[in-house]
Amino acid sequence: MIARLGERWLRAALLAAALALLLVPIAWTALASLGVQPDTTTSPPSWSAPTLANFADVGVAEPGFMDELTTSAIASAGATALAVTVAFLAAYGLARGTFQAARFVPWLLVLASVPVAAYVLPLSELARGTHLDDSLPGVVLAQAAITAPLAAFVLFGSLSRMPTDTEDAARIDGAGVLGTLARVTVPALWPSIAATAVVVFVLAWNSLLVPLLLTDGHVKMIPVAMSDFFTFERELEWPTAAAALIVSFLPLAALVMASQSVLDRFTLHERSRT
Amino acid sequence: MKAVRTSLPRHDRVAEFPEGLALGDQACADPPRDARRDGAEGCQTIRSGRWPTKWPSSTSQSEPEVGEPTLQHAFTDEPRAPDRPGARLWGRRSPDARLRDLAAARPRLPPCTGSSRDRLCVEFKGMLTRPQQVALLAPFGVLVGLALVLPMLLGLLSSFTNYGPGEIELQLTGVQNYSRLLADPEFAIAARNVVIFTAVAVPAELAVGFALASLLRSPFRGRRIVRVLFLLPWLVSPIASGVMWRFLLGAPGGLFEFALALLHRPAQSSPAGQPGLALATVVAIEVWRMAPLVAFLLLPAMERIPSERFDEARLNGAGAFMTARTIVLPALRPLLLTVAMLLVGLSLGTFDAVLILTGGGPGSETMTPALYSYQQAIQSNAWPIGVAAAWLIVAAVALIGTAYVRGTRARYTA
Repeated sequence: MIARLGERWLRAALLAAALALLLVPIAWTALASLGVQPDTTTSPPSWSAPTLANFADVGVAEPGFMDELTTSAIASAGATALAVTVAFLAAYGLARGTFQAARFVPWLLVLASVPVAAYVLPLSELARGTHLDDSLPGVVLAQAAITAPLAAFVLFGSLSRMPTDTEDAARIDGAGVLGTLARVTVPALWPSIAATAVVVFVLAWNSLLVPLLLTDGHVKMIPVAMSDFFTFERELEWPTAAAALIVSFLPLAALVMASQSVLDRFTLHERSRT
Repeated sequence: MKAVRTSLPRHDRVAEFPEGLALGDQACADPPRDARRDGAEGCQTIRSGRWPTKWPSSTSQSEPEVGEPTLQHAFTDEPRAPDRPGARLWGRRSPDARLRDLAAARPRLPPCTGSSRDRLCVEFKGMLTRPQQVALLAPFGVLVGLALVLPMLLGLLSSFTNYGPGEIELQLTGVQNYSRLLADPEFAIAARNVVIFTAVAVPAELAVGFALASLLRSPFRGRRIVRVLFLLPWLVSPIASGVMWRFLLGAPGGLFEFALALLHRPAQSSPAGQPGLALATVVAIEVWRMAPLVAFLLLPAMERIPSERFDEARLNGAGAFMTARTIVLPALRPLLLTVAMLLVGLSLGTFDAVLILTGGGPGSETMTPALYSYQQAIQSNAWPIGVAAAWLIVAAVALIGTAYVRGTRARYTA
């Protein structure tokens, strides 16, 4: 009993330490964005008073920041919708087909593992060739294609774990493939699909290379704006940069907090073996 | 032709099927008086590769009936009990022999024709026909094929030419791009860096993620919120993390300076800019960012391990480390392999994590092939070299991916 109690305290202490290590850098940035910074020249270090001025400064230093946020949100949402839809249909085709497709599923993960940097140069040339460069549809298509293999891999796992009895019943009762999908499969798998969509959205929102090489001024997104914070011409003040970081981080944090109940359905397990 | 004689008692003992029995052999339900004669009382020839299911009664001399393999008994594990009570003692065979019987007797289902009237395929298997399957896969194939696979192939092709955005005259240059690339000492450093980066960061991310997930495994109050809080570092994009750590480590009022002041140590410049420390710093930041994601991915699988197994381990006196090694790791091995594949791919393409934090410096200490490729193609106006460098990343991932698929194949065919 005493050993168990000790174990609980040990675990609580380890958890607290892990949380501190993971979150202090973010909290420090949040404090800096509010103007709370230590002055280490005095001893003990003194702290400056909080202010919201830094958030206003973001608009001065980067006038288009709000537009960039909107563009990022629209492009990421579009890419997420496209990637998850296409990946779900493909995963359904692979999981419920007669043809033994399971052998090819690990290759989806390999495709998802190829880093964007490895093919983004020819991709940008391709976009230029098809006049999709520097346009929202181009970015959406590219981001969707990049995230679709991972989404298909995850959704294939969810589909193959799901019992097919209800689907079979719907098919025998005369529902077509799309009817079965819409009325049986999607409602049953909704949490997994939502979790996949959240992860895909985060990946699309955070991706730098695609907008960096596929867009040029006309369409500008958050990660590119951040990479522009520090160039030869200018270097942003740290509290202003911190405010910009926090503003671009908050939507994701809110999204993840709101979807926490479904997020554990995102799993890379292809099949359950237990 | 040989006769098998049994001297089994009539009841209560489970007999193994006698080894070495083959088609045409004589088998007898009871100890026969004369086993060598076909049709002897209670004996018959095995004709169907299956254990006979009907036996001649010992009193009548009628022709023995042998049950043909029908659909029904092809799918039952046990041969049907013979009519005579004494004979059922024979009805057991080794599992292997039973499986062989089943395979031989299984009726061949006709292949699905793809017609919607193909009732066997639709009703009994509840499966899609081939055209339906193709239709479902087509959008994915078009999207991923055109925007992912095609660029990779174009990259491979153009890396053997002098193709570039401003190039007017397209020429085949053979392996010239690759030989120039491999002769560049900076690329050699970049390749070495990314190998070190991957070899250190991926195991560290897996280990830290595993430890974090273990901490969260058993329920406690507030676990849900802790779990989401754990995920926050991953939400910071690589580029934002570069910006953030650049200041946390190097700016006045940053975390690093504050910590040094707290410890009464003299101020230092950012470790990301110090020779010898830069790569280690980049690795540490990457572990900070990715380990929580690993924990998030491992946790659901860890929760699926029945808690009895942990109780069992505790009763047997296993400590936390022993439990992790003997119970959790084996259960998570396939998942760990998958997560490792993703992390290796990400690490080999490290670009945004170093772009702002170090810019590849000091010197070339944190240069990576992806950054090298970008700098060559965009800044140094050497597009073909950049494409060739990037293609080497594809090749590396493809090589590791092949090993990964080999490793998973056993699971899929099992």
